[in-house]
Amino acid sequence: MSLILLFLLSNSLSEPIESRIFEFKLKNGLEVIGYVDSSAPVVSVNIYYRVGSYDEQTGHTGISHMLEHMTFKHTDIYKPGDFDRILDSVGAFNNGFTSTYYTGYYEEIARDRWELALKLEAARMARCIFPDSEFESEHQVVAEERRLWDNRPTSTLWEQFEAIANLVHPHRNPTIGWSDDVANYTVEKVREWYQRYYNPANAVLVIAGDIRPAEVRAKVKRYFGKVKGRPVKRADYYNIEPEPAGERRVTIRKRVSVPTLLIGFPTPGIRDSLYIIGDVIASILGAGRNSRLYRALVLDSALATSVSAWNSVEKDPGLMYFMITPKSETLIPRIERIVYQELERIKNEPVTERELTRVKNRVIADYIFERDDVSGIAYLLATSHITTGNWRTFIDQIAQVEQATPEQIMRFAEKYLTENRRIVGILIPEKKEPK
Amino acid sequence: MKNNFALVILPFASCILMSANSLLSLPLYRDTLDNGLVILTYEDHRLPMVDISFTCRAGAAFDPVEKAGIASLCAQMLLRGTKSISADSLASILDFLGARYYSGADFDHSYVYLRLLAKDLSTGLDIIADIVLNPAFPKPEFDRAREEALTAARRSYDNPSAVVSMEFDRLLFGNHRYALPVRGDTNTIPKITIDDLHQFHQKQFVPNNCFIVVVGDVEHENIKDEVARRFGFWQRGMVESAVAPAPILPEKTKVKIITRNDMNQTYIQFGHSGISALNPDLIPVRLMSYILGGPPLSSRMGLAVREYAGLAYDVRCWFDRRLLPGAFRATVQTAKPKEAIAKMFGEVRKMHESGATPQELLKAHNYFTGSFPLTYSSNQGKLDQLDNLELYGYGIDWLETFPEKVRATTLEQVNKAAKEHLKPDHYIMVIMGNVTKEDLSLGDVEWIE
Repeated sequence: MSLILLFLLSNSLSEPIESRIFEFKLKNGLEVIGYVDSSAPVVSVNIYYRVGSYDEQTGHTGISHMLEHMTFKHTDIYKPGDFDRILDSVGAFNNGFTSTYYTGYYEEIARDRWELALKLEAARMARCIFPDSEFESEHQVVAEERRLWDNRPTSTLWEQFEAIANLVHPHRNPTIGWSDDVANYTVEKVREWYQRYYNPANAVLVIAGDIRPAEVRAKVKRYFGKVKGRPVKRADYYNIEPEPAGERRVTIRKRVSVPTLLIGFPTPGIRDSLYIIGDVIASILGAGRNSRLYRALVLDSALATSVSAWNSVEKDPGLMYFMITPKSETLIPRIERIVYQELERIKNEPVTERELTRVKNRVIADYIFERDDVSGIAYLLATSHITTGNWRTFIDQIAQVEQATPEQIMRFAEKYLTENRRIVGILIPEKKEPK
Repeated sequence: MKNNFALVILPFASCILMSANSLLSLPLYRDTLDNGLVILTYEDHRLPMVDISFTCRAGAAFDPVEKAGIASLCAQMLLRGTKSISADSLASILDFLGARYYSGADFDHSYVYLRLLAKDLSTGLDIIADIVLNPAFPKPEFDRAREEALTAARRSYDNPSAVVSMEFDRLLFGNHRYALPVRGDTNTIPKITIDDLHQFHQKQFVPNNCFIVVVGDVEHENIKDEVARRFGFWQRGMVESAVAPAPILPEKTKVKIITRNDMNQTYIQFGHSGISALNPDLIPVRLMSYILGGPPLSSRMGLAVREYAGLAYDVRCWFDRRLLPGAFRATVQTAKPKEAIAKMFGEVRKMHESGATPQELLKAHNYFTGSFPLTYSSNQGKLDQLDNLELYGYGIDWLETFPEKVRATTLEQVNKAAKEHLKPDHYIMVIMGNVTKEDLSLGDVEWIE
């Protein structure tokens, strides 16, 4: 652990985050994580289910998202609209969202009301019913949500890019589902999905804020203790994607005014001890004005107006992305050449100590900043736990970044950022058709 | 680190602090330097971090229309170099500290935001003072920032929601600055010069037109001294008001269709002139518009359009919060525009004519008062609330009085607000998609070609 991190952790105002966390598990399998922060009279209640686009097959992509919508509707004790009516009437914020690896729901609520959130979430977990008529109208709502994607050219670029980047892995499917699948959902499939995935043994409950552990234990047991747990065995697609055999490329012409260039490389998942090095490289190459690609493309060559880079790995192998706004379509080949030159440089020359320290300092500062908001910390705990099986992962990642070396960076780049593994997506203006 | 940039000489003795702390139960303080610069502090010692915002009470509303984008570009350029430190060095210092930072403008204000670890507070204040007092607007950086703004303006035409919103503003605000986006557009941005930025900065960035908010692991007494040491010498200047847009009330609803045959959904925005954020009806209007078109799952519009009919994913309405009267707007994206518009028109008319019910008002009271403390539980939330209460003059005790004001708002006030501030039959409306006039059955409206 570095001196600066030790300094921060030894400060009484920022004791190790672990000291504020408690966890327990009900007999039915529900895992519960609590985070105590009594500085504001607020509690964030979050429940995450291990189901998302990762679990979907062709023909019903997006069904987890459709189910998420339907769980706000009807239970045996609540009518459609009750969830929002009840939570709005006490001034709580609430929402649901679906992702690759999870479907999550949260309520941010005053500390004297948080039991209400538990009551509602317990009903959502086990007591939803899906009348045909309500399915019909919500199905249309989801179809409209899908159309919002259809009309945004950058969404098309993303969808096509992910699909060519993943030949077989479920990462190829958009969370919202492919249009044809969305049009063909049935209420039977929604019911089946609910029965299979929504139960305490397939969920993680995170409660953060002005709470007391004993009270949390008692209340969680009261509302969730009697719900039957049915462990779900999730398919493991970690190694399913074949090693890329050559560059893949998609060029999309749409009605756009500004081109977009997206370059990606498959990077290892969390079972690889070096996976976090991908984050360090992305930061050195594309985070901020002093990153290498920003300097090369925006400041020095003036070929682009923006550059960003990030490594997206939640669990299975993911992708490192470089997103660039070229000044014009014709400059794209030159921009690509410069990007690939910079990648060669990172393979062949050690990064400077200052570059590496900049990344490390940022991660350490973020460790403090992320705790500003109890909902933010709850999100980190929940997603970390559900994707890696251990909420401590996000803390371990900080230590791993702290220990990153220039040699690891060169090794990682040499292995993963190669021509054969490259995926390129280009979004450019439509060709003018002669009249 | 501090030695990397030369600081102005700060005659501490010249600063007489005028304390104006209230008897608040919150650790919230407000002071004014004798040059008029206001300092607000919210002490929160949970974490060793600090959030700082510096705000000038002049934004895009002061831009000449033909050069719309000056305020925005000026704010962007504050982080692109000072008389003593280059843009690269500035970014290098802040990035090395792990800081988060940005600058920008809205119609009502220009701002710089900085979040850093508490141990770096002094460096942070040095940087804020330097970029606010001594911006250099270097030519290469200016050219680059202007090009970035131009790219962003061009990119907005790729987003259907932005296109509809820009056209709505153009039709509603006519020759007023509000007719164009804060950043300007592809016609105005190329006309902006470095000299324009210097003039805007010299005129508007004067201490009696600015305030600084600090939230986090700090002591107000110390912040007062630190700010006075850096800004106390700064000379007052003249402060002007921006010119309000002339309210437009078409005799009958005016509609413009933007035909886009490649879209499978129609984007709609309609509305009319709104109210100022200083209007005494602000709270009744906010309660009323929440009931009418606030949350998409439980407002009247949300229930009618989304929940009962499945016509859209998102439907809502709101009054712009601006110092000068902005717009009342309602928006939806749908494959069935005729049905959605009919329902939205119907809900506005019903609210205008019959008002809200006591149950709806009670729910709105509970939502506003219950959720308000959630908005400032984090440091970022506190900073946003303090920025707003100072910018709009709501008073230092706003965090405590706002819930009381909400609870004191009666059904009569809400219904009077609906009567006065909603104007069915007098909309400006923009519709974009694969639709024709005939598809919409809008009745007696004026079509804008």
